[in-house]
Order: sequence, then structure tokens, then C-alpha cells
Amino acid sequence: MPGKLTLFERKGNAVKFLKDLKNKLLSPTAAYRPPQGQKGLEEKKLQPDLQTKLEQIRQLFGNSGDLVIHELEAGGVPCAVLICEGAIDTSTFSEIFARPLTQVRLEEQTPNALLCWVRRHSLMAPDQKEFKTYAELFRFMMSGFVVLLIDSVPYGFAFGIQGAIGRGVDEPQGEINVRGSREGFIERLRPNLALVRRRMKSPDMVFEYLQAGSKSRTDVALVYMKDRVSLKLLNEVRSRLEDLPLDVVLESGYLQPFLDTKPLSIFSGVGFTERPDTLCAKVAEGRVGILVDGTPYALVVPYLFNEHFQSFDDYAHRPYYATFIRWLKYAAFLFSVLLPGAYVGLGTFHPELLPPNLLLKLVSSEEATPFPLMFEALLIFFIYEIMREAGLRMPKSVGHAVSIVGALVIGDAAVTAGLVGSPMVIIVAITAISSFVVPSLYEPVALLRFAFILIGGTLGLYGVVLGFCVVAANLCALNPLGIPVASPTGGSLYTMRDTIFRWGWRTLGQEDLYVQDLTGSDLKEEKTDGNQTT
Amino acid sequence: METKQRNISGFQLGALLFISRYFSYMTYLPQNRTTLTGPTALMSVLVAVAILTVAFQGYRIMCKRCGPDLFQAAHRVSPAFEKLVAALLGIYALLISASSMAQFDFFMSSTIYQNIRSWIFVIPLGAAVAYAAALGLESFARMAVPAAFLVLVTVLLLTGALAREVQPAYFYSPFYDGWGEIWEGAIMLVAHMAEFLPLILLFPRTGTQSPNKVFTGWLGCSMVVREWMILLVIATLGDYAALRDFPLYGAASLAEVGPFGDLDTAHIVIWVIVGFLRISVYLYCGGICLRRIFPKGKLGLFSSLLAAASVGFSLWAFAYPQLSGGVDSTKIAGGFFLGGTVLLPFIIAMLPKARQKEGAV
Repeated sequence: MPGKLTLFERKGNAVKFLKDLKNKLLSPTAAYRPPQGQKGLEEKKLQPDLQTKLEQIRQLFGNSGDLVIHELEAGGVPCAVLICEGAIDTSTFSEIFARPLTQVRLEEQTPNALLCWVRRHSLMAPDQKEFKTYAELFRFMMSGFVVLLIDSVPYGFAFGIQGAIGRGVDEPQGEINVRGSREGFIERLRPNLALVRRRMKSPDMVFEYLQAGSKSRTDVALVYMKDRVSLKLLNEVRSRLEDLPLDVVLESGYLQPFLDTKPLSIFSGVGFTERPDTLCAKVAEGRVGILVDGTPYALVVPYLFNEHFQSFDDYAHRPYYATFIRWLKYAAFLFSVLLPGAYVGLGTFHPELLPPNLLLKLVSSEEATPFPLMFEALLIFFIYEIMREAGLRMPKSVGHAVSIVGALVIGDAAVTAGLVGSPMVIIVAITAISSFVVPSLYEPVALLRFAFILIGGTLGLYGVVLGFCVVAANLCALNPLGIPVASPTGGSLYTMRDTIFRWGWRTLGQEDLYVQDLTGSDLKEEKTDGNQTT
Repeated sequence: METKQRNISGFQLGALLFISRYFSYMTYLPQNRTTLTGPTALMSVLVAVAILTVAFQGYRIMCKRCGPDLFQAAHRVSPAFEKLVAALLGIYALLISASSMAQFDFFMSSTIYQNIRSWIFVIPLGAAVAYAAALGLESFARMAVPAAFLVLVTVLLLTGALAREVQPAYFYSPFYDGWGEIWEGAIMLVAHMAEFLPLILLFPRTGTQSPNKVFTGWLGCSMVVREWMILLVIATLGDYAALRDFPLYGAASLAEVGPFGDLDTAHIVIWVIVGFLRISVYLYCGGICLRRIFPKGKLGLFSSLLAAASVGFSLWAFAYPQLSGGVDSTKIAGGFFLGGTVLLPFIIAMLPKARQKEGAV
């Protein structure tokens, strides 16, 4: 019959419709511009003539207000000093750079003689580099280097006398320790590298510089120990960062999804730390650290799930106490994810499973409230998250006020008004405090908590346990960069010597633990030796 | 979903098999007669261990002669034979996952949520296990170790809590019913030993050549726990265990742990975890069998199809318990066990074409 579609045609149309819909919803609009690189600039070489170079720079820089060009004669040779205003340390500039340059006396007043003096007889900065392209020139200048261009010389010199813009080394706010160091990373890359180097005085520790973001040209440093890192892992991390499809990278979080194997999973295989000592410990186990200029956190790949429950203090405490603290953290994690959902599930579907005395108390408290248990839990946790977010983003003084108002509204007024049962307030309090015991897992915990309340309210305890199984399976399936996130989960107690237990240093010191040797690792076959080249 | 096939450790496989076996202790229904209860069962478990050790020799010989991968060995005989083997084992895997889901459904809707329709449990379970199977073997194999540890802790807790309830009068000689009954119990236990299937199909993924360690460890642990559970149930429920559905749950309901009340909450939690893992394993096994038949297909699609079939079977089994009961009978289960996991590896081992070439890995 004409016009009637066959089954295959209908199927084809449906597939086409779904594809179109997907493109409409998930693809960029027609106005989208893909990330723009500076490929032309990368290849553009410096010309010998000084005026041509300066003209070109002014043109490329678009007469930006912060470009400072000093044209002068050094030893009778025309040259130019270029700086980005505010990016250099002016007193160091005049003391060790400007004065020697303006007072130099050359036997021959030729560009070559000046070049020779700069290269061999001057020491205008400890960090001195040569470059040949405009891209490098801009990169150095914008990173706070002073650039020297000499007439008739087709390359330039960069001198690292950056000014200290930004805060000094401070105590890390998110990873406070009792016995460990009080130093945390700051926003500037180079002081961060110095903090790491001071703790690991080995030539095997390597800092490898990369640039991220085709426009922002953000400095990124890979930190690894060349005798311990797996070459496969290092190359993978390097290639992912080099192929980054972003114009602008302002924070290490921009890189995180590109290092994760399953970026849509609720758990991440990329960790972060703001402590240089923690980064050193991770790198010593064969991991790769990533420091990004402008971010006071270092990324660590791969990051195992059990590492969320470790802290630097664990290694300062005695093993029994450290193990106890770890168990406490695991329990707190489970409480923060499952307790509200289990409470809703048990209260709604299985009150008979609760001990009679407890049940009577719950019933007497909940019978006066107008909402079902699930709705009550969702509402109160939603309000709690609003208050937490408000307290976090507002100035500290106002943040305290928010906390007080929140405590009064939820803790007292809501119970007194009979809107919320007091057991629910206790559950919220326990859950909220527990979720701060493992702060690095707060994101998944907050989302899972809501999910488990919904499941508990619709399927009861069965749903909560089944949901937990699904989350555990999802976690166990994660293999960021070839290392299982859930590792080590099996084998002997010895393999768990630094996971759910923390054995003494005498045992831990017997064998170095390398992340690539963990059970289930794809990198296991590869053996590291001290002579591998990167 | 499963992006790359990864190996698991022998320990993880052993734990997975242990969990799968534990499920059958938990779902034991006296009227189904899949095994015995009472003191006679203590002896029949020991006889079953001896029979299983002999039955395992078929696969052991195959490992020595043809390597541990059953499908590869069958492929060397002929690609069509490989597909035939995959079809047979795939049906077996589907049968076990479907009957496990039905047993799970029956427990939930008869004991825990008596007023709720069974599809409410089965459909979320089907979706969850399909997801886990699609994620790949390592997703649930890694989970099996902590789960096995949790099971052992619960068993210890149960033992401690039931210590007060022990009645020595409930014990009588295991030979009271005679050797015929012991023998029959052992046969029933062996016939329902479906763990041979994942052992054979998943052992190559451990990357080791000899399966002896995994087999001995798994069977030893499983049977010790089995004997202990039988003792516990006899000591607390006596002959009443033979009349009651889910006697282990009955014993857990009796156990009181101080102010926390009964242990039935812990039992339900363990039940769901164990059920989830067992059904995931068999769905995954079914998925890899289907992939041998249709190499271009995706594991996620196969897992979803098998999960849907298992859900359908479970709902049918709930609606027509008399008809569906036959699927789990000793004859059918024993037939698949003997044919698929005992004789088939042995036959393949005897075929000259199936043998591994010198130096091949």
C-alpha cells in the first residue's frame, strides 16, 4: 500500500528522530566556535631588526595598557626591554637587571659582543632563558619575565624576576592536621614547586612544564618520580593534557574531567590535595601530581577510593589509633550516605524491624508531623544544603549568622511547630557532621544522600541496599588510567596494610608500594627501573 | 559499558563463588527439596564434597591439556562447536539467574513485604543486575571480597546471638535415616552446584593456569560454612526447620543482639547483597556466552536482554509456582550440571583437535 512504512523504515525513522533530538539537546549551537589555538603565533619567528620586532609586538599586543617597552642602548648597541606592568619585582629589576645593563662597557660595540656579554659575563637573573618565537616571548613576558631584545639578533632573552603577587604560604584550610606541617600550596606555581622540592631532595623527582589552554596558556607542572612512575601512566597523563580541547584553563578543576576515564561516574579517579607533604607521599608511590598556576590545589592521578580516608596525621599517630580513625571515617561515610535513606526506609516500610522501645519513641515523635517521612527528610536536607552553601559563600561573619539562624529555624522552631520530628533532626545532625569527616567525598555524598532518601521512601530497606550495591558496582568498575579505584579490595591482610588498617612503620617500610603494582592494574606488567627515560 | 576486559584475582573469583553458594543456603525451601535439612544433611554435605572433587577432574584435565579457556578449546575443534557450547552454557546461566531471581522474589514478597506486588522488587533488581553485568566482571568481583567478609561476620554474629537458643536435644545421629537418605541429599546438593559454571567460564580471567587453588578454597570455605549453618539451624529450630520456609531467616529472627533487637535486618541486608552478586554473575556468564555466538553484540545489550528474560521468568514463577518449580528440579539442574560443567570439559579435553599447541599461551 503506498504511503505505508515497513517495520525497518519505521525503525530507521525512529533512530533518525532520536539522533536529531540528541544533537539538538547535547550539541553546540550554530554560533559555536571551537577552541581557537595560536598556531600562527607559535611558528612566527623573531626577526633580527629591533624596530620590526617592536612594531610586530605592538601590533600583536593590540596596544594593551600593561605592555611596557624601554628602548635603550647597552654598550652602544640598540636594544629593548619589555615587561608586563606589575608582573615583575621592580627593586630586583633595577638592582640586578637594569643597572648592569645600562652600565656595561664593551670592547667592541657590536650586537654580537653584547650577546656574548649577556650569555657569558652577566648574571642578571638566576632564571635566564633564550627564545626564538613571538609565542614564547609573550608567554615569558606574561609570566613575569623581563624580556631583552637586541638589534640584529633573531632571538630574545627572558629573565625571571617575577614579583610576588598574591598571598604567601599559609596553613591549608581544607586539610588541617594536628602533627603535620602547617604549609599549604598557594596560587603561584613556582613557590609550590619549591615547597615540594624542599621535601623531596632527590634528582629522581621531576617537574615537567606544560601549557594548558590555547588562549590562557596556563602553566602546568607534572610532578613525578622518574624511577617510580609507570611510563605508560605518565605518557597517558601527558597526552591527555597536551590534547586538552580548551581555550581557557583557570583552575585545576578544568583538567579533572579530561583525566577521568568515566567523567560521568559519581566518583572521580582524580584526587586533590593542598598539602605539599601529601603530594610528595603520593608521588613517591608512583602517582603523577599536577600543579596548575593559579590553583592552590595539586591534582593527583590515579586516586584510589581508600585514599579519601587517609590523612597525613595517620602516619604520625600510633598504628592502633590511626586504624581506629580510619574505621571511624569509613563509618562516617556510610552514615552520611545511608543513614537518612535507611531511616526513611525502616520507618516507612519495616517499623517491626526496630527494637520496640525505639519504635515507640519514634512513633510518638513522628505522629504529630504533617508530612510523610520521605518528604520530611527531603525537605530538611534541601534546606540544610541551602544553608551550607550560603554559609560557605558568604563572608565569614555573615556565615556564622546563617548557621545560627539555620540552627534555630530547623533545630528548634520546626520541631516546636510540629513540622519535623525530633528524630529526623538528630538524623540530619549526625549525617551532616559525618559528611564533614571525609570532606573530599562531599560532592558524591550529598547527591547520593538524596538518591537514597528517595529509594528508601519508595522501596524501603531493600531499595537502599540494592542502591548501595549499584553504587559499589559503579565504584568497582572505575579504572582511571588503568588502576582500579577500589583497589586493593582483596587478597591478604598484608595488601590492606595501608587501607582499612594502618600497620606500623616497621612493616610499611619493608616494601615500597607502587600504585601500578596494585591488584587489577593494567600497568602491572611494566617494571620500573631507575634508568627509564621520560 | 565494559570498555576493556580486565583480569580478576583468584581470591576474588573464590569470594564470588562463595557468595553465590551462600545464596542457595539462604533461599532454601524445604518443599523444593534442593537439599536436605537436619543432622542427615551434615553427612550428605561431606559426601557431596567427595563427589564434587571427582566431578571437577573433567575441567582439571581440560586445563592441563587444552588450557583453561573452554571456549577457545571448543573453537579449536570447530567454530560451530564453540557456538553450540556457548548456547548450552548460556541457557544454563539464564536458567540459574532466572530461578535465583524467582527465589529472591519469593522471599521478598512472602516474608519481608507481604502486601506488595512482586514486580516492585523484581524490576529494580533486574535493572541493577543488568547494569552491574554490563559494567564488567571486575565491577562485582571486586565487590565480592568485602561482601564475603560481611557474610562471615554475620555468620559469627548469628552464632553468638543464637548461643542461648541452642537445644542439645534437637541433635540425633546423622545416620538415623540411613545411607540412602544421605546419598540422596548429596546428589541433590551436587545437582544444584551451579557455581561450576562461573568457575569454568571465569577462571581464565584470573590469568593463572591451575584452578586447584580456587576450587579448593571456594569449596572448602563454602562447605565449612554450610556445615556450620546446618548445625546452627538444627540447634535452634530442630525438626521445625524442615517445615519452615527460609529456615536461616527463621534462625536470624530468633537471634537477639542486646538493644539492637533481632538480626533479621542484618539478614535482609546480606540477602540483597548476596542475591545481587549471584544474579550478576550468572547474567554476566550468559552475556559472555551470547557474545561467543554473536561476536559483534555488546555485553550491555546481552545483559539487559537476559535480565529482562529473568524478570519475566520470575514473574511467571510467582504466578504459577507449580509449573515453574520443575525448572529448579534435581533432574533438570543435575542434567545441566553434569552435561555442561562436568562432561563437556572432559569431552573437550579428550578431543585431539582441542589441545593447545606447544608453546601457546
